[in-house]
Amino acid sequence: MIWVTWAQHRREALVSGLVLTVAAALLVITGLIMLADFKSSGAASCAPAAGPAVGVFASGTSCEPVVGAFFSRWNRLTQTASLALMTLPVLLGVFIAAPLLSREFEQRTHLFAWSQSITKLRWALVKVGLFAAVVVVSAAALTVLVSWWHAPLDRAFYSGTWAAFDIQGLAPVGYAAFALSLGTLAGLVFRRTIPAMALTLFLFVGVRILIALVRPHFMTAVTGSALDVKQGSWLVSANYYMDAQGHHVSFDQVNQMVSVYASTSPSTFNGSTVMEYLHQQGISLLTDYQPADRFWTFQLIEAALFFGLAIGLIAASLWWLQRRA
Amino acid sequence: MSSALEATGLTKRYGATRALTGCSLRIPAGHVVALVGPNGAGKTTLLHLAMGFLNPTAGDIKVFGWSPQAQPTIVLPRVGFLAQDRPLYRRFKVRDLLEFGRRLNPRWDGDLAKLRLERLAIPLHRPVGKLSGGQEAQVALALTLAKKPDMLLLDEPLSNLDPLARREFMQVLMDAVAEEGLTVVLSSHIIADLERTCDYLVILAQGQVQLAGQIEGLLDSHRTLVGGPSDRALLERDTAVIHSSHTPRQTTMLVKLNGRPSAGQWEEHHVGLEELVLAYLSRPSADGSATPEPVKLAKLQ
Repeated sequence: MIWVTWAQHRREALVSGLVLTVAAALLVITGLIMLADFKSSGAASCAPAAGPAVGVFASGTSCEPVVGAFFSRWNRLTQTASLALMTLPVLLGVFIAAPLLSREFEQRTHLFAWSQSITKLRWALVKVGLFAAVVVVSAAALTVLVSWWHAPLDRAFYSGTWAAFDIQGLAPVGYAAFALSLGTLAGLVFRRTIPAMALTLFLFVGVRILIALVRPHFMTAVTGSALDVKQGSWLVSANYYMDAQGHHVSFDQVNQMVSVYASTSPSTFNGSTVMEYLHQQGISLLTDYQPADRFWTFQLIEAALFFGLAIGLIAASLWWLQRRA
Repeated sequence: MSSALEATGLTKRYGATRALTGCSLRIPAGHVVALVGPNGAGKTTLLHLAMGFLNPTAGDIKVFGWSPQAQPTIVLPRVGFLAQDRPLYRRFKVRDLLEFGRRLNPRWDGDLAKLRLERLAIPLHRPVGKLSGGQEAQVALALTLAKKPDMLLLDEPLSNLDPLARREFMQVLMDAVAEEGLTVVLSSHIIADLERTCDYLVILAQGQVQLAGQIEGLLDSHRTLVGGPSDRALLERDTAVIHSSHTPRQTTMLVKLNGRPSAGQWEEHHVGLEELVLAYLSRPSADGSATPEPVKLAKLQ
């Protein structure tokens, strides 16, 4: 059955292999150039090797323009590459997973396969299992490469590794697993390629967006002074003012207080005295954020969600094949 | 004789559509069976249930005494199945399909299949999609036979084939049957294709078996009677009228004799297979309505 699956899906395998090879080659080439630039421009020495630097952007240091320039040189490419990498699981689900079984039903070749001496359950298990193994291994390999490629940018971005949450760590492997199981079930239920592809596209994008919206709330955010949030944190709210009793204070109210202060003591009025004055009034500028050290916990939660969905969908597929068909 | 296929109260519904309703049937091993019925009669559903592709909604089906749903690994190697329109992986070369069969079937006889295809001058290195319709059908048949099955289930095996390809297909099939003593079930809505080769008949209509038995016996026990319109009353009580047609001067009836000779006033004729099948298919159904599809029945003629 393994030979059979290979013989049948050689073409898809070769095309996917080619796409992955090109993607990997581009990542290696641009990654090496970026790494060289990171070192030669001096940005590397501004950020300590382990983890995101603290205070790289502190104004007045010579590091700020250096890292800033490095960032803007590579930002455009990074955005494009991230988008392309995020599209890969969609392409996988729509163009490979959805047709995997539905095309057989459409061309009725499943009847030919089932007429051999293997059960339809084993037929599906080997096909989907083999496909899943290849997908998970290649997604993992690609993600390792992407993490290496993105490492200098992790240190140049204000929010560090969070900025590329969707393309590194464990999450992308979960996306791939979800895409393939969604495509499989859609193909099995519809038995027609185009509707299976459409459903896979809409559900995949929908679920990805939904979970991305929920992501900031995986863990209760830390609230702290907006003035000394460490670099590498993921800001999940806008800045806001709060008084000593813990009530929100609107920007209008704060503006009013500032203008009162400005009119009463115009001689000493400047940026730092204003903050001092507000502090004396018990008002602080706060923000909610997820600290850098939660990155891997969030990756685990995100991956667990998508792997859980994938396993559920595969189980549903096998049930459907065995009971409903 | 042991039964090759046995269905008891077999029912299959697809949503609200009923394909088979309480269908009971026993096909003894060793026959070449014509499974005949109009389109939508449930022939394909019956064959798919026999292969375990579908689960019955109710009732039970056994192949050589085993359930295809519960014991597929016992049933599948013993049954060769050729689905309607003979689907094959069209990108595969003939040789690759043979390899496919070899890897998926424990009783595979690839040499025999190769021999059969070579005898028909079908090139093994050519992709299936580039063969003629007749050649493709022969490849499908050779693959099914190479499984070394005890029974062949062929779903409309001659559809979309030209007359020459039909004859060649049946030739190869009957040679194999003669060599290996297979039980064969051929479904068709065209009885003419099967008349010369089958010795057992199953008529399926409206999801139920209308008639089943050895063709010779069935032809012996049925007669066409022609007489005046008033003669009907004289018919013996245990003679079942399957089909009748009337003109002002004459009544023609196809009857089942139940072993007794018919009444003397009638002019009596032997029936042909096609006539017999048509009579049963145009018989009013159990719920009182006549078989509704004259267009499809017309294909039988």
